[in-house]
Amino acid sequence: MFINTTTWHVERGVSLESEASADRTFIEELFALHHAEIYAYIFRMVRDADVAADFAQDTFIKAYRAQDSLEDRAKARAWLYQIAHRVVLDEMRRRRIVRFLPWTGESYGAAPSAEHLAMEMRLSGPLARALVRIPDRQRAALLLAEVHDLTGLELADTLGVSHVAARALLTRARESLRQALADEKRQEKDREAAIDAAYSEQARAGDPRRHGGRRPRSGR
Amino acid sequence: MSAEVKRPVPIDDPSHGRARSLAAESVDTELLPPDAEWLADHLGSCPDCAAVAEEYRDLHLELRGLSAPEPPRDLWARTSAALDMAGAARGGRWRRRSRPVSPRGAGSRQLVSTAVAVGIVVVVAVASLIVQSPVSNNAPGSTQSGAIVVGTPSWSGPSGGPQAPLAVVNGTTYWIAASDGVYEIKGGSTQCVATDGSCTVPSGTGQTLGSISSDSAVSAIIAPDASQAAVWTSDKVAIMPLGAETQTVSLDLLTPQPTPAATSTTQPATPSPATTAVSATAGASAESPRPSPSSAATPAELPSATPAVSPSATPAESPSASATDATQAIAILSGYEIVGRDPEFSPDGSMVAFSARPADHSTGPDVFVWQAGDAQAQPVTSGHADLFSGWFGQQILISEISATPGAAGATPAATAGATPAATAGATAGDTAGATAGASAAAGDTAGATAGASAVAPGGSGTVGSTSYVFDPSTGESFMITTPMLLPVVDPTGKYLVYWSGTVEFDPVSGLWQPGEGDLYFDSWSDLTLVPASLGPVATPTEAPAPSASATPASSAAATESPASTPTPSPTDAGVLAPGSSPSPNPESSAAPATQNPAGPSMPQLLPAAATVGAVHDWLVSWDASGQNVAIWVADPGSDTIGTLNLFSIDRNAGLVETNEPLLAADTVMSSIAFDSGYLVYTSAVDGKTYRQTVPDVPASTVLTPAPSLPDAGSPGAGSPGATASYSVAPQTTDRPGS
Repeated sequence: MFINTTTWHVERGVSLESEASADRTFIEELFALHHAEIYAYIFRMVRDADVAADFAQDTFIKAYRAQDSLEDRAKARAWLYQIAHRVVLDEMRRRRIVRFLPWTGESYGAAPSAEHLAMEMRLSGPLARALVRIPDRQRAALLLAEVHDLTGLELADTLGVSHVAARALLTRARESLRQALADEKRQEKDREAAIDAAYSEQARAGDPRRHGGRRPRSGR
Repeated sequence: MSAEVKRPVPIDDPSHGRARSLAAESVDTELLPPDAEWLADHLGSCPDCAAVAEEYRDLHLELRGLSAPEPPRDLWARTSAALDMAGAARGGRWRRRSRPVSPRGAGSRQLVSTAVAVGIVVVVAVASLIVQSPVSNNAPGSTQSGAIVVGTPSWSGPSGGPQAPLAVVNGTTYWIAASDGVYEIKGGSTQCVATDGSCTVPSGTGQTLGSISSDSAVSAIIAPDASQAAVWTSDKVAIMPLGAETQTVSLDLLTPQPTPAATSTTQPATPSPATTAVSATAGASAESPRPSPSSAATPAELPSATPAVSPSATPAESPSASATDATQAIAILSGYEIVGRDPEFSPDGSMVAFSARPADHSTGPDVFVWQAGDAQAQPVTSGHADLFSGWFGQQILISEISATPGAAGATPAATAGATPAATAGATAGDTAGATAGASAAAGDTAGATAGASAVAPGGSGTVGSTSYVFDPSTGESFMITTPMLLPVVDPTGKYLVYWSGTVEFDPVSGLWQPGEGDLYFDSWSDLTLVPASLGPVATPTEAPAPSASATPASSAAATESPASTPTPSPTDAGVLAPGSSPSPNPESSAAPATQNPAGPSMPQLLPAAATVGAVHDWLVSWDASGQNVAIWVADPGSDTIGTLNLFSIDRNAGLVETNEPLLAADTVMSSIAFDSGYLVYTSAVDGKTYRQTVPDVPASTVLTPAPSLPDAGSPGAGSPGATASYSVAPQTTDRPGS
């Protein structure tokens, strides 16, 4: 039923109704081919399944409405990523979405924890946190290039920048992630050391309930 | 832990930087042989760089090993249903479509969403200042303004990072908590740790002040006295009371009630006298800011909003004044989505202003005003390219992006990847064109229906940004001749900060977005205002431009010259507008020597971003004294995290002390506010909210700020309404010895 979008160059008929139908069919084809990866990209950006589904839906609706902006259907995949990327950034901006736990400590819902996210994405905890810390645009560049295998030109189109700028952004993203990861690992190590010290202190104080001064390990 | 963020340590030896850059690139790209050879040699002799290269490779492998999350099974079903609706919705337009024009139109007159964010910040900031300072709060009738928040339950992140509070007012923190489609506006006591300045709200101190249920994400702002809130979703705006005894308001079920004197907000405005109060007729409120009195006025002569000045245009005269019950939640606008900065209450809490566009994006945004007692918000512009910039006293600052058909080089292309950029800091010629473009838009019904821009598809136009001061009580509007986007005036009416740069059309959102640009500090009292219906008046002294070497905006400003002034104002700039009553400008009369003493140095580029031209999303917040200004600029690619600078103003010299910021911190959340002598901000690093002490301004010398209009320096020039409308206290004065 579906055809390869990279070779889909059928001249659409003059009938407006058939044109509308063809446009709908085209979007359905795009959905079948790319919805999983588009959803995955969005999920990795927003880190919430429900929001990712909403944004994925928005992406295809916007694609449907803006088909005339697609000049070369061979580039439909990158075009979809471009729309998804804009949807994510625009919606985050428009909704002023807060992606962090409240400073009050009050729960704001059932969003996935870092540990849940790590399990979901098979990421280490520090890497998951490090990814969150780098700028959205850099994270997008990393995910698109490393995970979603966009070429340099596709990445540039998606991000709306030149090829050179896209490469530079990707390089900065790698460096940002490396530094953020190192920082996360350092913090985790510090936390572990602090906890160990606390248990040791309790042990020296003679608290028999504290496992002889050694705290139980998480197994990591 | 301090919120001061460490920046990457620069690598002194450029070869190390090159090595790391090549190492990063080599992860997924085959380097050119010379580069690969050089890199191998370098890594062989530099263990540190070799370790970094190894880390890049490890990250590469780990990222590529990510599993793919499974999309929900009903994704196609829901998308298909949405496609059906989208197809039906565009059916009418479909037949007019001809390739390569987008079904939604090229949208050259549609506006900024990012600027919105910028504006939002600014607006909030201004309100926060006026409101949150204990100085201003001491006076009866002074206002406390809430900031903005969005509650989206599913977005709590995994990082354990911060969420910025909605507002912090006199030690009370307001925020939104959301769960399962219910959004609660809460308030609680703030407790700060003296040692590191971090603050928290102890659990148990929070009190629910309002509750909203909705299937859509809900945002809110709080009125200055915290008695009510404006809440909105993607297609509805409502006003709801706040209090200890709350009932959950089902926002999705609220519908606007008809206002007797109001026509549909979707109906085009009919021209009417500019002195008509916004709430008096929909026609007046729907009028574009451009319509104005026939006589000209200098900035300092801007008509007052006081009843004495406009006796027939008081809010009390609104036919719908008694149309609503303040104890009940009401929907004031439906079928529209907020564009740009968030809605904001006026300083006295009697009005709410915002910009919005139809939810179907059939036109660009207009500015709406809701007045207490009215059943609905009324549009005050009709250009479909207007953004709410903020309140200045009881008047509204509006920015409009406009296009001149026929001008070259700035037509938004509907094709993806071809984002045009145009100068937002309009030249004098651009400003003239703005009027023409707006007029064209108003008459372009086909374009409006199709969501197209004023510029005909395939045509061309010059894009500019013009800002206005609009008085909702009289309907009068004045154009600021200096091109600027989203100005934020300090509460004392002496200075302002605005953005200047290029705007770019985003075909996906159908809006113009700020491109390359910067923030500038300028003298508000030295600006020139003219009735909006007149052509711009620009002289070198009246509309100084950023230096040509400082910013991309300078290219626009550089063209601003007397020679480029299209049509001199035919009116006497020294004559007050009808209904205005001159009154002294306390600031200018008290310290005439300080009126723009810096002269040609104005406007001053504010180094708020790492690089020139990199300010795309920002917040500006003045403290109540006008002595300090906080500027938050989003990091590239981020909407919520950025760099915060707190600058002190040398009000005698008329300069921002940019070399010695009181605070320079990065990785800060996009929510800042002044409260009780502190700047309150939230670090995205450790999730804590911090207070930064701002220089003490003796209360004896800083009375309740009274906004004043710009003073062009004309003898006898007054700022009617400034003191008359807000005369709760004398005008703010500068600190002794400053």
